[in-house]
Amino acid sequence: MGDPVDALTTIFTESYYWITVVMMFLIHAGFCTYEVGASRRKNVLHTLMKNTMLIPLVTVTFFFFGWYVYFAFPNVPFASGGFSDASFAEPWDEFMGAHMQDRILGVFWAAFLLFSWTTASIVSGAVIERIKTGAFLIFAVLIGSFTWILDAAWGWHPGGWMVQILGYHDAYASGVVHAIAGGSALAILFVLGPRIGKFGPNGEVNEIKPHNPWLVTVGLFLIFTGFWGFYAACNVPIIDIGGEAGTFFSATNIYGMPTTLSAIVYNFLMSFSGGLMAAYLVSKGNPFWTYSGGLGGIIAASAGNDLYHPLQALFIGGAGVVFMFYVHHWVERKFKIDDAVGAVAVHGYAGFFGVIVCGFVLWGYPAAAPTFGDYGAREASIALFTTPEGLPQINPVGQILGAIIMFWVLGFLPCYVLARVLQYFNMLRVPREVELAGLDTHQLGDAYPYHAHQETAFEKIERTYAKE
Amino acid sequence: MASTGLDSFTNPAEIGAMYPGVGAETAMVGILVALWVGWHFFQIYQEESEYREAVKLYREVGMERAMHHATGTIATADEVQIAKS
Repeated sequence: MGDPVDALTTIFTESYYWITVVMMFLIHAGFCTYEVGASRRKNVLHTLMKNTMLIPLVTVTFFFFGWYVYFAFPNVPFASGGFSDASFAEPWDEFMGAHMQDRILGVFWAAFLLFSWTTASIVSGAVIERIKTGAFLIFAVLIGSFTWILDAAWGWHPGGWMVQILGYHDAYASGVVHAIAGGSALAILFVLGPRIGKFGPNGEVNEIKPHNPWLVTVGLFLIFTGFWGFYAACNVPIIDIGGEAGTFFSATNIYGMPTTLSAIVYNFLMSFSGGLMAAYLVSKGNPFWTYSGGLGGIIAASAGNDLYHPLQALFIGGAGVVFMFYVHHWVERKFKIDDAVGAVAVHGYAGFFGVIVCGFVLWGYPAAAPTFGDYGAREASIALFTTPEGLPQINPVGQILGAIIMFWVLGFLPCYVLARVLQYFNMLRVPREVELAGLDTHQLGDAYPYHAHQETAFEKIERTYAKE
Repeated sequence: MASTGLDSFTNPAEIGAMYPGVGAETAMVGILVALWVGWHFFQIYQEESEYREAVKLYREVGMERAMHHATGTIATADEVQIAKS
């Protein structure tokens, strides 16, 4: 790096991603805190360790193959191009370590790894208090190091076939991270079943209160804070986008299309506010749903938060939260789905909603430059819809198909198959006796041995099941 | 003895990989993949063993006491005895 401008640009970019990684750690601190708070006293430590151990397992598997998937599989073989050369992302390549001639791959790998943790961790909260840790950790590897990063290769990589053919646009991962995580969680919950006593004999829904609502609150605030790093990591901080018009440095979204940090600051805060306001009203001031609504509002607007007007972001965030709230309660009653933390709602339904709405609101914008196929530019775009300049165009059809692919095809389907396999081998759910007594009880013990216990209304319900 | 062939930083433009053991990456990956897969097997074995012991204990003492145990009560003598047996 002999040229001072190149050196400054490169080292600034390296530092920028490094900081986003540190900030995104807070997302995981938040998920752990939130899940522990939401679980009951007898399951606190098990819940903590289940979420904590996904960190090293997703990390090592993302090193082994997740990172390679992102660069190797943006195409659909025989339809849009073959596998791409991604030797630099193979785990035995020299660039997968300290290398004097590269300053970007490592920090970029780490930023994507933190997205991987987030995707797997979203699922963790939904299945607490009855899934076996070993089973969950296999799901975490599948979701964190394969399915989500495959969807990123298809729908986030500038050369991904969904971007280049469908014009798919998902700047801050409504679908790429959140819808797929929600779909995955729904599939596991469908096979896993509800916690004992969650649904009464006549189908009534019994509330299982968190053991510590303050931890739930702090956890969500940590997630909100870490989300700033998530948003920043979805941008390229500085790059020359001037082209033939001359040099023009700007930030871009992950597709290389221009945006600004100011845009996402406006829209992050406005969609957050829209989500909080809507959730407070529809839930009649329920704290759990109001806090979750803040997160749901951001997620609902994330697909287009690089370009929305702040008031559009506010409205979309609020509408997405209303949608997720009512769909959640309908699915809960209709299919007896026990989503302990509302993860399918906040991430799955809000994300699904956000991807589709983006197709209508941003209809006509360029999705990405036509860089399809082994990172080389094509002479002509192969998109279903193109801009007057011939670039893939954001459109409702592409976004609807994209939402289905994220939630159902890459989210629900693989996890449903794996859940059935684990269930067949009796590896999915803890024994009934262990669930009733508490997952911590036999080995880890009570997390609060110095605090007296008062039986809750739900524990009285549980005792009736223990006598059966 | 140098393990990298790198004993000077005076010409950074000519330096590539900076870690020790250049050339042994494939072997390291192979070993760590085996450790990763083995970790899953061992974790599942431990967890299943724990649940088997727990279920045995709870059936001995009855679910009423097992659930009371979950609320922070110290294990009673017969529970400890059964757990050790």
